[in-house]
Amino acid sequence: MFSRREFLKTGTLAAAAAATGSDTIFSQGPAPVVAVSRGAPAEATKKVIDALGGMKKFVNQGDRVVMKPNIGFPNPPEWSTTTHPDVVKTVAQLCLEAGAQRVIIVDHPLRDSQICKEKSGIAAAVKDIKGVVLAMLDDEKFYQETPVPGAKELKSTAIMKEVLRANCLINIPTAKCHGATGVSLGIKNLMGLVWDRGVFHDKLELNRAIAEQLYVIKPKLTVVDCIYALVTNGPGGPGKVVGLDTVLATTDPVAADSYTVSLARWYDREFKGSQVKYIKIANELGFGEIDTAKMDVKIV
Amino acid sequence: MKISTFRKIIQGLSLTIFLGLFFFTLYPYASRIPVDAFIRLDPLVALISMIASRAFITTMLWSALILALTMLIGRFFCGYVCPLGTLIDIWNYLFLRHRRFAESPDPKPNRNIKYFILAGVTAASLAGANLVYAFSPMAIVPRFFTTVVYAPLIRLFNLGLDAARPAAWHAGMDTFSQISFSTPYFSGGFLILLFTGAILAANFWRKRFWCRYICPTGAFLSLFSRFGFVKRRVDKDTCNSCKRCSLTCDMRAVDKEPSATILSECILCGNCVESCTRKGEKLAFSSFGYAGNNGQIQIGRRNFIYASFTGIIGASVLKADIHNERNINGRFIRPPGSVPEKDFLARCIRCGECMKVCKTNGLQPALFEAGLDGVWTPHLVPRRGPCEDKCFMCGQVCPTRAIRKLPLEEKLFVKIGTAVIDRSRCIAWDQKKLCLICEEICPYNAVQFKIVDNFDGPFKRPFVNAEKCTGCGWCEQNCPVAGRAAIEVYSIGEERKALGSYITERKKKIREVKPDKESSYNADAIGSGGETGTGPGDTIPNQTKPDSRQQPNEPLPGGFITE
Repeated sequence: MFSRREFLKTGTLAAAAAATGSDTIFSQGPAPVVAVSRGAPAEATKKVIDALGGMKKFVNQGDRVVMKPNIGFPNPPEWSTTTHPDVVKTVAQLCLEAGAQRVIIVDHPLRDSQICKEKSGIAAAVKDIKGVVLAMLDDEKFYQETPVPGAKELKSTAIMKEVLRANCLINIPTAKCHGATGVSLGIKNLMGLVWDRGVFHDKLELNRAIAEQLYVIKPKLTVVDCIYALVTNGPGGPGKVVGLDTVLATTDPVAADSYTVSLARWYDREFKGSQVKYIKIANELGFGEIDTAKMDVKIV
Repeated sequence: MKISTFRKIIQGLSLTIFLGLFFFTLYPYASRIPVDAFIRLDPLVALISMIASRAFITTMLWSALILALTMLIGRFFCGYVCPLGTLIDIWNYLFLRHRRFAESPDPKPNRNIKYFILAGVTAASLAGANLVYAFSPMAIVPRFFTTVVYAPLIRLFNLGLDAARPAAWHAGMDTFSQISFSTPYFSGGFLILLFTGAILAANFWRKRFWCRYICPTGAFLSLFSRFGFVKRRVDKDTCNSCKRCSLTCDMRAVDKEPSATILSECILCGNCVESCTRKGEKLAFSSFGYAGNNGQIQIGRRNFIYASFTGIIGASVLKADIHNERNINGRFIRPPGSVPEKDFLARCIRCGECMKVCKTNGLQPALFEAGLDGVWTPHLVPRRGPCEDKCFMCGQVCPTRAIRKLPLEEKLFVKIGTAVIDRSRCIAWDQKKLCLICEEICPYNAVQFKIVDNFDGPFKRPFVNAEKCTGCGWCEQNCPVAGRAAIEVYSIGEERKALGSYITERKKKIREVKPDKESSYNADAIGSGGETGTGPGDTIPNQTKPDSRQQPNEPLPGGFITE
């Protein structure tokens, strides 16, 4: 039952929302916690995950964890087209420390897998960690056609079998802009887990299809690598890269992307999360909070 | 040790090394291992390629070693080293060892045909055509393995892995259960299978048919092997002329008088020694020269001239094809670093090494797209596999340098063609769909977007910057349009330099990324999209002149909402 204070708070805000005709869905739950830290990649990653309660809140003893960083381009980390290898390494180590029995790092890039994983530095970073497997799943046999309940565009899609059987999915995008979708952050990063992406472009409405992935792919944790942010000429670069030296983490996939949008000047302009179509649609479908004012931002 | 054992060991070793080198021809291959070593050992390939291209190809000089050794030892290459010879012997062992009918023991005169072929191929090379690709075992065997054996082998391997996969999956063997090899595909493999299959099948008629009647490399070596130190020696006193040796000699190198050997045909296999009922034979060192054996090459002077003439005519017929002078097939793309076409066709021995090593499996054997003379030469099929910008392997493995050995930094500047957009089929041009894949994937940033009103409202549409485009074909491979891509690589702007660096100041300037230059983004005009097409009543916020055919600045991505 509501306390009187909560009732007043809820009621006022609801009335305000109705009055202003704001089109952002008011989320019923508590404000999502977004932990943000500035510093070296490994330290910042550890701090933000600790601020959320530690990896043990997401990974149980004996779990199979799937990590989805961005290994999509054969470029060095400074181009900010792929996730920083130290961030990936730190998250993997934290999962193992929390008791994960297996950590599988997956991606399915358009470019050549072998070259991408080498040139991005991620293969070298995780090579010797016991319990970690880096799998570039380039064959349809590793995917399973899955219906997407509730979706209007993306009615069904083939998802990596490893993701379907994982106990915990951790999404680790890098911060970059994108020539079609505006920015490519966490929810966009999930496209690497499905087999047929061409259909998103030529048969479906792209931004909606991206958001609808969340109906069936549910990351428990999103860690956004903002050590560098690519602000022009994404997603492949080369373009203008700003050094933000920041890592942020949250359980809310919409909040992760929306907050990251507010961190940089994309294409030399400021944007709000609600100005990015795929994030806006994801919020409208109820997958998370888009308004940074309504987030519980913890700077650590 | 018995000769047959010794021989099997050497043959096995040679074949293993050959196959090992073949399988090691992979990205990123360590350049210290010369995977084309075997191909470089063939002296005929060296001779013909150099004459046909009128150039001194230093990489092929290793073949002089084989020539020298043949002169000293005899025709050991055919019996101990040649991979085709070993394959033929394996085939004979599997299928022919219990054959009832025996070929007559007498040597046949028709083995002169290989000298005619040698004369013809050499004459053709004088006319500029390299025909050794059809006749040298060093070109035939790697080509056969690449286009016919390799892909099914990988498939078989994958079948095995797939069968074990469910068990590995449930057992939590996660590294193993993710292993799957990408299957290569090679067009035209069937023809090459028939060609090579015919060589093997001919053994049913005459053993070592290829070596006896056709192989010009063998013919070439036999000219020198007659003098070698190692020869077959028969103890005349023990010999009872039973002719067992003649029957078991695959090459029919035992003369009518069984104590004499036809030296040019003897490949030192030792079958005769092992089959002699009286144990009166051996392979031993003897003096340099014929030593009382038959050292003749039976080829008449007139026939030799006829053969050469045929070679020249044949070469001229091939060279009369317009493709030698001009690329009239607009979509024929050669590997990066290929020398100009005339020289390319003279050097390329169609060994298939470049096709094997190509990271994306984009290099395929041509049929007649490059003319009669271009059969089985490599060309890039970007829809199958683009030219990976971080790979430069084809130039590393080409034995005759038909593809120049360029370092990676230089290869990045080679233009093999230009991408051309078919606007009537591109879904962004024709249907206003927010497809962006060509721009996203282009490693050279050669695809740009401009807002264009193509009679159906302003929309963000792709353009190829021909100066930046190198023709790699990543765009063509990933274009989501079914069947033929809506963006295809044509030979426009193709660069083929015989000498000199491909890196120029102008190109470097075009590719410069100026990170501190503030690009101005036209924030007022967004490339609308996400919604599949805007209807006639819809307005796009803050739209500039509706019929502007070109925007001065890069439009913002359509994924943004600007207010």
